[in-house]
Parts: sequence; structure tokens; C-alpha cells
Amino acid sequence: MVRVKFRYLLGHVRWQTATKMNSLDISGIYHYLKNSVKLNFGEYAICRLGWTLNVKQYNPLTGLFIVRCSRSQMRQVWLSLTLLDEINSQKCAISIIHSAGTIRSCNLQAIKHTNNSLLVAKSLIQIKNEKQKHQKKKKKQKNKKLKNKYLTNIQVNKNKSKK
Amino acid sequence: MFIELDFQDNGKQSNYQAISTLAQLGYDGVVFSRTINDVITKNDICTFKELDLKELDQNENSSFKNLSSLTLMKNEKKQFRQYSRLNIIISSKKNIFLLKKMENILKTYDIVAVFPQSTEIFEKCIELPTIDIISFDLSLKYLIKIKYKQVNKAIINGLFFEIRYSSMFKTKQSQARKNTFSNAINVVKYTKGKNLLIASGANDPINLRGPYDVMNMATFFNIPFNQAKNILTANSESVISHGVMRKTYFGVIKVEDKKKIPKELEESTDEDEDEDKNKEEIEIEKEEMMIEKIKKPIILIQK
Repeated sequence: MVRVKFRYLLGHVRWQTATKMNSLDISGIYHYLKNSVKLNFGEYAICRLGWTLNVKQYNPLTGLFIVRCSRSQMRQVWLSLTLLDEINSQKCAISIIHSAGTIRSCNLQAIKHTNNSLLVAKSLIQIKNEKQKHQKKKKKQKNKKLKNKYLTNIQVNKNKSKK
Repeated sequence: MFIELDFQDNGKQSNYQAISTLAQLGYDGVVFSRTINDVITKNDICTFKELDLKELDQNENSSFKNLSSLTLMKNEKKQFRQYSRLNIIISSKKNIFLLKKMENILKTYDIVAVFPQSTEIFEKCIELPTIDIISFDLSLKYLIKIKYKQVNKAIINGLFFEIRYSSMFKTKQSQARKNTFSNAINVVKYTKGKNLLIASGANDPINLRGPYDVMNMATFFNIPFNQAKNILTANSESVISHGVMRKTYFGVIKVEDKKKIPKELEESTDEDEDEDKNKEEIEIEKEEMMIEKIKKPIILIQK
């Protein structure tokens, strides 16, 4: 079966000064992305991408976005995103979190990413650590009882030589 | 286990911002650096102190309130590591003898790096035992002439070569980006991927990139996929262990001050725990402790 296959990249935008974030649109990201691909890899790379380059989703509050590209050109689009410096005369930095073959798995990873940042804000990680310690104590008590049963039945030669 | 190998030290507030961005990106350690031109004096002793991340939680007015919980996101037992580093730019042949003479000053830093500006200096830096890294200024048009024989000698002695990617983010100087690509490919060609490091010599935390972004960048420098991950994880830890062995006396003994030991280790007693255990378990544990001690160098305490 002949079928065109894509890759969806989940990215996160980081700004130097957190002002005027709401003025950016999906078409703005597409415009700057295309210029960076042209700058770094030339016009041949744009012609090879063609209609497959597209920005699907963008959330200005958290800064997450999803970009679609063809499977053979994924690494070149990735590098052109990392080397992207300025958007609307403001400095920014882009880091890519996940790459997948469907939009659905990208959305699931986006949920995990926001959950982690919320845990940090609410400092719920301390509660998580206390739960794990409580579970570990129970395991240790079980293992101690098994060890004592096993060792009393066996004679170990090391004790006799050191005495 | 990713470690950021070069970030310039500009005070406490900038260091806190750097740690907060790096913990979000996925790193586990930082190396704060300082640059010197040519001459090493007695005033260049390391004055770097590790930052306490837990003190910030107690101050409610600080903007970095939850930094300690942020750094514990990945591994909940391990803490965020911090080291110190020195960068020396050498441009004249007369100042190479200082690298051998000022050993005691260089031993206060965890990592020492050298930037040679000509081929004659590069030949003499290979055989020095007081150095960890040799790196280049990649934004220049013409790089130093490198030869295969000299590079192989350095790898046998245990030195590392470095690539820095912060000079690619200067938008107004497009020539700097072109030069870094061509020079980095040249460095990879002569080292063949052995003993390589990738770092960012950045001033601002905006010019930092995540570890997987750097691995993707390395594939465009003609580094194969298998070695790209090893460069960031295994080689960065081996540099730090190389720095630790450099401080010791032929790798056997190391002397430290008593103030560095925390109070918890001095006051701990194992008597209460040994009553519950059998004698056999205690002896098995003692043998395991002895095996661990033999692998590491002995540390003496100086009062």
C-alpha cells in the first residue's frame, strides 16, 4: 500500500520577557518557520517539503504547539526550529518534547507535560515521596521475615573460621 | 544523566535562573565557568560556593520558591549537581610554563580547559597533566591546523576535545553561524568521534537548548546516531572523574578540610540498627563495604 506518512512534533516556546504573548497566531509561526528552513537548508528543502508543512495547534497560555512534516524531512525541520531566534522582534527559544506518527499521542504527552508543571507549582511532589516511602517500608518488613527463615536452616562456614 | 558543561558565572540571581531553566529542560547537573587571559596569578583561586536550593523554600517572598521540588522531578533521590570550571585563553608561547608551575591554584577547580590560538601552543598542551579539556573558538574564519598524530597522542593521555554551540545564536552576524558548522565538522573529522564533548558557552539562559535537541544537532556534524547519546551522558561524567583524579596524589590519596563534611555523617551511629540483624548479615555487609572502598581513592581529613 502506498501511503504518505507524516511526523508530528510537539514543541514548547520560551520567551525572554513574558509580555505580548497573545499577539502571536498560527500563521505567524508558519511564516517564521518557513524562513528559517530557507535560511539554513535552501530553497530545495522547501520544494521537497511542499504542502506537507503545516502548523496544527498552538496554545498561547502554555506555549505548546504541534507541527506536521513529512517523515523524511523531520530532522531538518527539527534543526530549523532549534536555530530559530527571533519572533516579532522578541527573543525566544524552542525545545521539542516528543515526536510521533499521530496527533493523538502528541496530545497525551502534552497532558503529561502540563501535569508535571502543575505538580511543581503546587509542591505535591513531597506528598508523592511520602507515599513511596510508606510502600517501601512494607516491602522491607516482608523481605526480613523471609531472610530469617532461610538463613537459620543453613550452616555458614565463615563464622567458624573467624571465631 | 545529562550534564551542562559550560555556563558563565555572573552572580547568584543569574545562577538561580539558569538552574530553573535547566531543570525544566531535563538536565541533572551544571558546571559554572570563568575565563582568564594568558596569565594565572594567586588571586585566581576558586571562590565558587554551591547554591543551597532548600533555603529558598523557607523564604516565601522569593520568586524561586519551588526550585528544590523542580530539580527533584526526574530522580527523587538524587540532587542537582554543581561544579566549577576555569577557561584559559593562551595566545603567546611564553605563558605555557605557568600551567605547570601554578598546579596548586588549578587544583581548586573541578575542570580546567585551554583555548590554544596557534599550532605551536597546541603541540605543547597535549602532554600537560594539569589539564582536562582542549577546546577551540569556532566562530573564527580559519581554524588551527590539526594533525592526526597529535590528536591520537592526546587521546592516549586522556584528554577531551570540545565543541561549543552558543555562537550559532547571533542573528545579526550570520557569518558566525556558517563558520561554526564548517569548523565543527572539521573537528569531528580529525577525532573520529572519540573523546568528544558538546557544550554551550552561554551568558543568558535563553541560549540553552535541551539535550535531545543537541543530539539532533550532532547528527548534522557527521556524528553517527550511536555515539551521539554517549557523548552527552558517558563522556561528560568521565570528564568529571578525570578532574577528581587530577586533584589526587598519583590517584591514591586526597586531602580535604574538615569543614566540608556535613554534621549528619559525623554523628551517625549504627549500634541501634545492628541489634535487630543477625551476625551473618553484618559480616556480609562489611565485606561489601570493603570492596567499595578499594575502588575509590582514600580520603584523609585535615583538621
